[in-house]
Amino acid sequence: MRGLWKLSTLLLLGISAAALGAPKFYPDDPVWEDNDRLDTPEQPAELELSDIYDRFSHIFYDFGSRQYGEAENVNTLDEVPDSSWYTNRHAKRRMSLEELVRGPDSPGGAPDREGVWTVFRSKTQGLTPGFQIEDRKGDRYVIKFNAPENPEINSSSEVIATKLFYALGYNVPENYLAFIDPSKLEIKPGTKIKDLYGDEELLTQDQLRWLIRKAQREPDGTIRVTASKYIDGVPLGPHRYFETRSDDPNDVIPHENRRELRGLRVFSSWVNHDDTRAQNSQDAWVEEDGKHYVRHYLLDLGSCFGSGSIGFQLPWLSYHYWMDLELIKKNAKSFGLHTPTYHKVEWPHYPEYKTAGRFEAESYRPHEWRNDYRNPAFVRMTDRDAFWAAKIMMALEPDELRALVRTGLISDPEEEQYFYAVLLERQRKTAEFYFNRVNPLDQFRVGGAGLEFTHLSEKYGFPSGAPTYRIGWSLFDNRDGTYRELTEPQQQKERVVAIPARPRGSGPELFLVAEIHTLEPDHPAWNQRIGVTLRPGSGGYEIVGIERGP
Amino acid sequence: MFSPAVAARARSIRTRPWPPFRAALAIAAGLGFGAPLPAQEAAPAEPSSRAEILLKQRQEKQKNLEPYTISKWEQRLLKSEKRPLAQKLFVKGFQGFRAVIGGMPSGSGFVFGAGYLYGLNSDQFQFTANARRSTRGYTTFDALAEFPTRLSDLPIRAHLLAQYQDLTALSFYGLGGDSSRERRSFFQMEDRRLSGGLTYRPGHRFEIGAQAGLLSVNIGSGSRRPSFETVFDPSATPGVGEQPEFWVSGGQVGFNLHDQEFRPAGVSFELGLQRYDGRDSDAHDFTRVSGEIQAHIPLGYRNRIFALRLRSSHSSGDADAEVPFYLMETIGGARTLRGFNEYRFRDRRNLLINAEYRWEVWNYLDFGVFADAGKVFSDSGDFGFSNLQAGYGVGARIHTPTGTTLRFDLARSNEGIKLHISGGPRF
Repeated sequence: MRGLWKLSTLLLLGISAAALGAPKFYPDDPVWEDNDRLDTPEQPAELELSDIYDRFSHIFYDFGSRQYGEAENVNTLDEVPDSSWYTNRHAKRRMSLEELVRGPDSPGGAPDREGVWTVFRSKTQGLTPGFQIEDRKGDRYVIKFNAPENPEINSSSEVIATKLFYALGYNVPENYLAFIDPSKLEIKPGTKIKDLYGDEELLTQDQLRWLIRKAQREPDGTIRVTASKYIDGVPLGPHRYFETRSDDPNDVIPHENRRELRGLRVFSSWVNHDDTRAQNSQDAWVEEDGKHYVRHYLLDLGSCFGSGSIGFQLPWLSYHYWMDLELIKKNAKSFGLHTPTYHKVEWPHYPEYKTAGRFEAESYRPHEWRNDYRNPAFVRMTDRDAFWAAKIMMALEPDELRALVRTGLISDPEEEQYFYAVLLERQRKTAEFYFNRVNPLDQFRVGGAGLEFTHLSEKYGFPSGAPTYRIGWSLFDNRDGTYRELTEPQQQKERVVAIPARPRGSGPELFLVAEIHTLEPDHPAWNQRIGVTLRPGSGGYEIVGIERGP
Repeated sequence: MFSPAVAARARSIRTRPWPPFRAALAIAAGLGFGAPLPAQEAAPAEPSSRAEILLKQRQEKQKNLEPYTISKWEQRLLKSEKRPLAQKLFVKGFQGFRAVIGGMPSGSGFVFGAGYLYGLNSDQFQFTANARRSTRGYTTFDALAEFPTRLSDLPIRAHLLAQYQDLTALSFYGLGGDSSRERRSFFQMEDRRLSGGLTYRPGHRFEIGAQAGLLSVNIGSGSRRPSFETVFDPSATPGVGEQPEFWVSGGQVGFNLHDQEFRPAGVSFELGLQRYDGRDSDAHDFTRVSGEIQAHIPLGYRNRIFALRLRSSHSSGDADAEVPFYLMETIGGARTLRGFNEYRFRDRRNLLINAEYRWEVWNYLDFGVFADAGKVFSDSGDFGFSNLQAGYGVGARIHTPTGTTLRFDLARSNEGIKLHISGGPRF
């Protein structure tokens, strides 16, 4: 039956292509903005997922389309346009250090420290209480406490990761590292507390005191917390990493085939965000210029780096799924002779470093990294998706990373330095690995000497040997999609190549295509074709297409 | 790059028919049967830009929006997560009244009951009262007050306990290591206990405690046959003729040198001393000294742990006093010699060795192979590793981050094969 389904899909694809007879490049290519803000006047449904269902179902079932292929929401340059999911930020337009450090924070967005914080919701009586408060300005925040034994770990993780993911391009809430004066916590009359057993009762001042009794006090008596500001709009609950929302007209690309969700795997492995799952996302129905649409956020970044949701990260998380059936079978049969990788890790400063926790770079292997459980977008990530993510990640330079780490207010300078060094080393390992799986040429531009490009592995100082480039030119007819060879491929060492003249009388629909292979014996994967399409225009050539792979 | 096929596949799969049915529909549509494809409804103008293509895909979808929900199964699970009935029933209860499972001596069968809890989240005071009944017909009632509670950061804790037990069919095979399995008999032990204690635990490395209380025991015919008095001579079985009330006092000291990783490694020691003084008679006064060493040694990595337990207990009667048989420690069963029945060997002294090789199958599950050996004896001169009863087997242990919660052991000895399902840590 699966064969029948494939056949039907092929039929549909064929019919669509034939019916459209579409040009490869449209006049507005490359599209840098996917306007997925079509007015949605009717509020989409609020979705609440079962954690147990989500956790178990992903173990036993591969959600999403059966056809694994390339991402569907990339433009003709193989880049992700801006959308309600993603905004090209630092990698496309360099942000200043100040902008990076500010991240998503809005002016005056931090909770007001001077006034009273009014608790209007409380979710648990467990070890880590969760409050929602309103400050004097009327802004609402979700307040999260640190584990008593690790008074900085969760808030540092949340704040640093928030700035990073914002710079990388994702929508994230304004997460502030704040200090609560317990004497300024008041309870809104009628506020109820929900305990671990689902019961609600009126929250009293005594209960409030009891709940925060173990939180470590700063020298001035305050308690360090993360204050996560309510995101704009009506919360609709999480987005799943597969399929689309059937009640959102703008959501037409299956989530598992969105590049920014696939590439999130690379970023998550870098910062060890093992908790990348639907439950830690949020959709919001927002209004802009009188129109409504759904915006998509990443939430709960407190489980990054060496931090778990509460205290230190569990040692095995990020090394295998929480329930990895293949590993379980292997372990069961091995009589203990097979040792899972995480047992072999020597955490350099664990548990002495109370904020870095279980965060290290020595044993880190980007491709072996795992999040909590199978993420349909992650398992479909291709080398092209990973390359896209890796180059965006590398746009953050060492001094910028250091500045972002400092936003976590890690009190021990030595520990902060360690944290930064691990982050830097994991960034290097991640990028080097994925740059070695494709032809890592990028940053194509038309200059005075011709078509120029950058070899990313060389740029970032990774072992690159002495690559040569085989470059040939073709003509591409955008009306009928045909190619015609223009020049024989030539080998050269330089990263700039002269642009040949088009035949006399060529119309505007006849484009130039440079086919470039990188030749380096130690990196066979670099010998992949990159097709760079140049569209003629009144002011010269414009790069309109980049095709990677065969 | 924004594939034209996107629109055709844009609708949520969840709200569409199951794939094979979808396939049939799609083929039918492609061949002109059924509802016409959108492209066939009217010849649309060719899009002139990428933005127009994308807009059309969305406009097309807007005409066919469907509710976005979760499946009924997921809804049910979500409901149970919001309202965790099992936890409510067994932990918090309703107005403090809750159901109880387990909590009787090993070998009692399935235990169920009801209880009351006051001070679930209090770090100062907690009170529990339980009534239990087992499938073997055992009954217990207990009331326990703790102050401060385990939630407190204070190193010292106190408790008061009142307990009634009616264990109607405890096994008795006679005394000594050469007792015969064929002479299995049963007796009833009905006891009442009132005690109090203090524990001082300044950290996880060291603990010292002391208890004192009153114990009253009645021994009677077992509810199962044969009853012990029909198999053994009561006059030759110490403690049958007279069952005095005892003042029980004692204490223990423990050193825990295990680390605090998920699979702890290290060694721990515990020494205990208990004194039983008859309230009205000194005919059965005795002192018990017990010691236990546990070691968990990673073999290379912590996915392979060699666990070892060595335990011995010695009860000595004063002058002419005899240790009552029903207060002698026993070995045999799920917590000691797993290849034998519960209470299989009984005497004034015992020695027990458990060795186990465990390997990690999953973070929350270990498999293990084990060997047990032990003996009971009456004369301290018999202490040693000769004449041990032995067994071996395989097992599985389910963990949570706070410890072992469930164990399955299949053990073999010269008395057959035993399956044990038990809760809590063994060692």
